[in-house]
Amino acid sequence: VSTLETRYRRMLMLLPAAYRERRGEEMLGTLLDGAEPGRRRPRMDEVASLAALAVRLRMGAPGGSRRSVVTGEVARRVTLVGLFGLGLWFCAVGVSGATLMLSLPYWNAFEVLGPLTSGSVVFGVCLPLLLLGGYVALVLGHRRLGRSLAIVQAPSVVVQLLVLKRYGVFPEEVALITMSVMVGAAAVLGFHRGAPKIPAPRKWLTVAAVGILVVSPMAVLDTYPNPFGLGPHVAYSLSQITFAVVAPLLVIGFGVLRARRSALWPTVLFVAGLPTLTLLPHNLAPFVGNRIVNVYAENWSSNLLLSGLDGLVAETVLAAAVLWALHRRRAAARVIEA
Amino acid sequence: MNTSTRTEQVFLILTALVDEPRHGYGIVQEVARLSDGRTQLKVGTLYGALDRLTGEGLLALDRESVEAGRLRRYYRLTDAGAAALASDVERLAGPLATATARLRARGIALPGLGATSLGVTGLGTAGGAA
Repeated sequence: VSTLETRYRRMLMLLPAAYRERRGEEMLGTLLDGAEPGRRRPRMDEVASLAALAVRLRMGAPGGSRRSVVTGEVARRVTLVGLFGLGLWFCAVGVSGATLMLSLPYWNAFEVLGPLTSGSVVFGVCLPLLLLGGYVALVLGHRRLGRSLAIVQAPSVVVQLLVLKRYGVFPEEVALITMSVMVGAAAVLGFHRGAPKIPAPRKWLTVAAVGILVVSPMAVLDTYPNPFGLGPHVAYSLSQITFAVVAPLLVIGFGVLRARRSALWPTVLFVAGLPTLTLLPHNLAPFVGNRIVNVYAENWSSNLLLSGLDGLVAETVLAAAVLWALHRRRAAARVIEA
Repeated sequence: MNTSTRTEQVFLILTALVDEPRHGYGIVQEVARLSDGRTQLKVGTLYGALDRLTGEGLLALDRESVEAGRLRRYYRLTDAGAAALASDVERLAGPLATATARLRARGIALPGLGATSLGVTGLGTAGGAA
């Protein structure tokens, strides 16, 4: 056995075991056939190509295991849910900024919106387009375009939140950055060359349209002092309850309902929601120190959102739903076996 | 996979298997020959494509043999694969013939392209219409 063959065999260890069992010897033969005489180690492009195949196989490419198909499906749905969630968030930020700008005199708006530099205004408009554009492209099967947009959004979000700001980074921005990076990574992993198209694209598009139609007026309510004749307190509470209570409840409800069929959706929502847990350490500190009581009690829904407690509750319920779905599946498998 | 999403590499792999079944390295060599050395298939790309095309029924395993101590699996083009390739060729032939005819009408020589090999002779009217 030559040194090169030993090294090729080591390189093939990157592949999933079952695939290597089936294809390993054949691939080794192809690699050795193509090697120039005297070569002692694999070329870098061979290693890169095999590593990429190994990742694709673990993400449900043809030839991969059943588990890898599920993993790939989770990665693709996390990408879409993340793009959707981030897209709605930045859409709300954009609507909110526009409302504020329109509701104030020019000089006052300039004063208030000082942190919105020209660069961040560009990003404020571009980010929702980038995120929701990536979502729509992936849903409609334009894999390359959608994946590119899903990757590009990550540095764009980071630049928007970290570079173009006058003030420090808020905890919720850490969560947004974590999510945007996670979404970019999930897009790279999930939307590979052999990835299947997204089923039922109309449903995905409808959900996006409904989301934008619900979130935009809520963003206006959250910003404008007296919209539609509502008092500021009523308007603010309504929007905060929507963002802090109704939205998490919808996510939890959907995840639990889908858990009756399979663990796929609760897993997707659980993974997509993980970045919200980054809010906890920072925002629970006042509770732990018993320093803030009245402020939180006064505006409970807002602080529920900011404290990340709703994220923690949602993650806990979704984790339980995943376990429940897996338990149901195992129980059903046992019944079939019996 | 529909026609519009098939890559050039997959097109070349299908073409390499039209005349006879080939094993992995045979496909790599034939693809390089067909593309004048421009496309050098890497092993990850090759086997990813073979898995996909076999799964879609465009290729099938023809036979296995051990040659010089190395396992070789030969793949052949199925009827569905031939039909898919024919569909790709038809899709490409029209614009290719038009582009060739227009370039020649403009006086640009394409010495690498024989008129008959592209069916340009038969599609001469396309150039005329242009």
